[in-house]
Amino acid sequence: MKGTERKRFIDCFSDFTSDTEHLTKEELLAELQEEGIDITHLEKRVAEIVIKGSAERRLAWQRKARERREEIEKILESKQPAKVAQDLMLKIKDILKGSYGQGALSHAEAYFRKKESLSEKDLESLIEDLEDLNLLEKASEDEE
Amino acid sequence: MEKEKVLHLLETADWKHIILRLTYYARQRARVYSWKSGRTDQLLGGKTPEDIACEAIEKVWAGTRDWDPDKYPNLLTHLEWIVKSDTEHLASSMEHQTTGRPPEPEGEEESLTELSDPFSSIQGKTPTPEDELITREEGDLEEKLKNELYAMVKGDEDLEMLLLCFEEGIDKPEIIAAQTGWDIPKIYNLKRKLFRKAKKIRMNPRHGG
Repeated sequence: MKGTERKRFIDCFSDFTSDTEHLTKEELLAELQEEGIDITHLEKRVAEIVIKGSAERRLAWQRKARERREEIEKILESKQPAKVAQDLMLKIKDILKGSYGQGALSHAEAYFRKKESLSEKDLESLIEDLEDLNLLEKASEDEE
Repeated sequence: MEKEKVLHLLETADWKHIILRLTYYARQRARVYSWKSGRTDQLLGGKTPEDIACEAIEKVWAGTRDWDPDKYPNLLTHLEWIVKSDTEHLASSMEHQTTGRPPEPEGEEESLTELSDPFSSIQGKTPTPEDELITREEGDLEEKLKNELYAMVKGDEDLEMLLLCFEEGIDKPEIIAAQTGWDIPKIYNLKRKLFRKAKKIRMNPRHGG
């Protein structure tokens, strides 16, 4: 419907009767069964869609996160100063592989891209930031 | 909203509740389109309302019809919009098979209130004689459906009043309540009554029948 044009009779009738707000679950089931719909089959069908959809979304994220992590690691390697302690490098890689989430990955990526070169102090500072970020994200999830 | 939160909402949604309501919605939309088109031979290109409801859910999961809870907090409303859009697209495609008129493109970004009606007169174009004929046929079918409805409710003043509200373009229970002085439970009861009567409508086929 455009502008102030009056909604057509048929559309009013259609929208009014399609809405299910007024129906109780029992009424709804009775209506659908009367139409020959197999409710058990329908519920099974939607459960399968949900399981498949959820798994596919999570797999896609994991793949994306892995690709991103690998890219960040490459940047990190390319900027690694010789004298930086290996244990710091390993710690950062562990953090990136861990469950610090997308926020930590974004922060690390921005950090590495910004720096021309990396000192031991830079890496220590980044680890602190990532740990703070992780604590903040967890606190925010707990609040919800 | 973050994707992880949307996923959490999708995973924890009450899908048993949603699929029942969505299937009922799809069933009713399909019924109305078969009345409007006069096609009783084939329902939505061979698809069942259950198929249309399940496909809408699949589209949300796959992200082809992404759900934005900030914009549309009610997931069922979002799914109903997809069902409405898909039903209209299917109806438009069926219309194309019969008339040769190109189907409406499947909209990805249509808003809830701007869905086109494939059976309405040709939008924004200069009508050809064929378009005018189709528009006349549509008008005739709508008029016939309206007459059938009025005949069915004859003698029931409340239902007649309800149909008059539709004539005025009013279909929201809250607005009907304000206009008529009825309470919402009464409107819901009238809706049940009207739906039961309307289910008996059998329109004559327009095409090839």
